[in-house]
Amino acid sequence: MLTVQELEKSFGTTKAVDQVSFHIQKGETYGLVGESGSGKSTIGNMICGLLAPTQGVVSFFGEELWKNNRFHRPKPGSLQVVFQDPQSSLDVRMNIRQIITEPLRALPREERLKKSSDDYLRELVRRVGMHEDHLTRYPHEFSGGQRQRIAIARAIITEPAFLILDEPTSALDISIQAQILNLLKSLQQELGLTYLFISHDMSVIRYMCDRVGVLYHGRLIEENETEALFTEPQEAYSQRLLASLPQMTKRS
Amino acid sequence: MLLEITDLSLSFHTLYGTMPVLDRVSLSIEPGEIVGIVGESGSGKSVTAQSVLRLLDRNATYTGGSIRFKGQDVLGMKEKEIQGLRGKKIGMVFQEPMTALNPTMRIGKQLANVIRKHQGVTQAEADRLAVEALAAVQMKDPQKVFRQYPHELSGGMRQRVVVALAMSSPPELLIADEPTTALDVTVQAEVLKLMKELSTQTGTSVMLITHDIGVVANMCDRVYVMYGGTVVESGKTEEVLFHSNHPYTRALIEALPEGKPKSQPLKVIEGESFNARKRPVGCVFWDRCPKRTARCQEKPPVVEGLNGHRIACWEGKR
Repeated sequence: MLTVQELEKSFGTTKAVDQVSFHIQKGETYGLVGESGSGKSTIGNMICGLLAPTQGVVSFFGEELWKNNRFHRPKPGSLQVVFQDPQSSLDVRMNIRQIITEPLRALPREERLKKSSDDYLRELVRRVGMHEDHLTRYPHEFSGGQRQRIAIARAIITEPAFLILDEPTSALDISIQAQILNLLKSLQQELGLTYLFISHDMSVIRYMCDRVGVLYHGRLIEENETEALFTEPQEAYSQRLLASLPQMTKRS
Repeated sequence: MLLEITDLSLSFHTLYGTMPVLDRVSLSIEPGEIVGIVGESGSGKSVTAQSVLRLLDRNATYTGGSIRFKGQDVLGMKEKEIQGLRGKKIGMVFQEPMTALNPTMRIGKQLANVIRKHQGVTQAEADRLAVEALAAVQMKDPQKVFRQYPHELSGGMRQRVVVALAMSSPPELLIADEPTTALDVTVQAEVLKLMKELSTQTGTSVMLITHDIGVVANMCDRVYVMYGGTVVESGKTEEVLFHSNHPYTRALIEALPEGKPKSQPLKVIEGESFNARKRPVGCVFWDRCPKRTARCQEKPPVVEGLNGHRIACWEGKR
């Protein structure tokens, strides 16, 4: 579904992303894990069109997304993003209905009308665990977990094939994180979604992903099936990363 | 007993009226102990820590209970007396190292100032001790860091400087409020290890505030679990994490993705994070608790089990 080939991004003389290649198959969850500055979010931003690569190819369903520094939009609404901080990713002056339906502006008229109907929206908010009464309210009236549900509703309203999840639970409490992770998993099953899951949290990555790539200083140093990576990390850095993880179970 | 907080209650005056923030919090720390306070946002863990040094804003009112440090009544102290505790007897490390350091002053000077203030030594001696303190927090080139400014250092190095500041004249108690939350995991591991080693060497007790149960498991002798401004469970770390008796602690551990099978959904705690504006009359966890009964609308009793393991729950009464 998505292929990234020898992707590079330089900021001045710094290579934020260096020769990164991976592919993501339909229906799977591919994890990118790394510490701050490893380039994981930069890669996400290049895939969704927020940042032009210095070099390399991103292709989605076989179509190149970047040509001559210009982003060629895939089928409208087929590729969507959920960001880390629902506090800043929702416009405070828009009510929930306006926020959720904003991506529809990219769709053809007929689809736009269908998806902004009351019935469709009612079903959508119910699906992410919210109530239809919430549609007329504003972001400040909601907790962090609910805001992230709203951001997810906004991402799936266009019926995308592919979602980039950039640290979707890193700003949330543990008890709320579990709710959102469960929601993302069930949405994936119901809607047949494919995920790129970006996180610094190894235990979240392990729980969510089928395959994982480890980033270090902009390079993809190791990639494997999740369980294989966690039980037998090959690279020294992956080993160090796993060993550093404070875990409950290590004590017992 | 080094620190003893007994039935501490505290309110904030806000635009929405007076809001109770802590409700009869009791907590104690023995010399040399590393004690964790774990909780989610709004649990009152940071407020508890800040109340020990009376760092809270003027809109906070202590409405009951006491804080005793080596037997002295902290809440009754004059501002001057409390100044004598801050930094000298009770050190503090916050989450964000950049805000704890002066961006316009070289690291060495900041450290030497603190050392001169606390130890009354000459400038030359303070400079020497400052380099020593930097070496003690495992800076590879302490002489170089001594001459650098905070912006020249990475987040992990800055936090080690803050630990050096707090530990240069070892206090009797170090309060660390999410000291590694802003750091990467590999750096976090180094800073935590360092704090543990320094505590062992100097006999300094540590009050470690965190939202990360993994950090508690690796660092703490005992732990207090807070929710909604109350202590819901406390005891030896193993007891609390692996033989918890409180529905909240158990649910919190169940909700962690660590070690859970991919094929099954995580067990969740229903509802939203604690909201101080909707504080229940009885048990603070009442509205989200899977085991609630009618009795839980009254304040739960604190039940003491073996080895000082305590829970605040009607269920534990059986």
